[in-house]
Amino acid sequence: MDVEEIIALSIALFVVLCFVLVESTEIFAVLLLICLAASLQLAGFFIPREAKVVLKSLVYLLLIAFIGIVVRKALEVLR
Amino acid sequence: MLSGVSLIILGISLCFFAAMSANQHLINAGIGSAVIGTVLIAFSLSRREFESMILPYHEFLKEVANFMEIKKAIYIPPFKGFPFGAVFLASSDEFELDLARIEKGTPFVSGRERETGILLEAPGREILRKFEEFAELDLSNYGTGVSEICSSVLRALGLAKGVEIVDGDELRISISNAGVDFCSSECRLIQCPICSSVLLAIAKAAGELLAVEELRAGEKIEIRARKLGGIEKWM
Repeated sequence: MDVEEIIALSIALFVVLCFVLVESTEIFAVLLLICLAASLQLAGFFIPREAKVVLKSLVYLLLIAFIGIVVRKALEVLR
Repeated sequence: MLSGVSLIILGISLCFFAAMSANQHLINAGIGSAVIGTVLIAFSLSRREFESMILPYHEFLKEVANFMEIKKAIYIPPFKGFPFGAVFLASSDEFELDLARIEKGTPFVSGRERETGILLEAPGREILRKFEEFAELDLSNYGTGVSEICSSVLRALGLAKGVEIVDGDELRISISNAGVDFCSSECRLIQCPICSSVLLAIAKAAGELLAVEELRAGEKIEIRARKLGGIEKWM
């Protein structure tokens, strides 16, 4: 099994595990963000450049969702 | 690639139905499915490292071949000065080759139009060494059984899934799932190290020169080659 396949499989397993264990969509999205960011940071050396571009875009998308979640929670607290 | 796209479509559909039925767990399933699909597509889109390494050299050789108006590639089994064989890129279809006149260190072969060309140590010679290391024998005069050795080594190196050789009036070689995506019919003149290693191994195993007649790149790489006789004939 290639390193790339192991990375893809690890991400997929983490996503499935999160889906099974987590109820809230907000926490699920944040966990996905952590998973992808950690994978990029830890296994970035083994991830091909083209795949890195796609994964980074996905991280930015989830980061926007994360900012939305944080802002919403902050507004809830302020009210 | 297809599974990635299917997962993304499934994820979007799940999110849509989840939003309709206000089911949070189904939204998670949709997002998760779309993320896994995107990861799969990202990895399938990526160009393999091997390809990234050899593509510049392959393109450079193609440019040289274009400049020299190369018409045919001839694989030569080992002979004096070339222990792993060589490839002669002839500038004419009706080429003439005198191996006795060729010396190592002079890649440009000059003379009459039919005699001109480029003589290179084949790009696949290092993989050929791997074939011999794996088989623990010298492939000289081994015959077409060399396809099994090529298959095993190329599969182990992650460069191809299999090699088949059909020996008839002409040699028909098919290489499945090669580790590069830039294969085209233009490779008839300049071969990448994968095809080159197989052709060089066959030339060595058959003990004959091989002329590459046609190369078709599709699901499999199919090469049609013609045997030109042994080294003595060309001395």
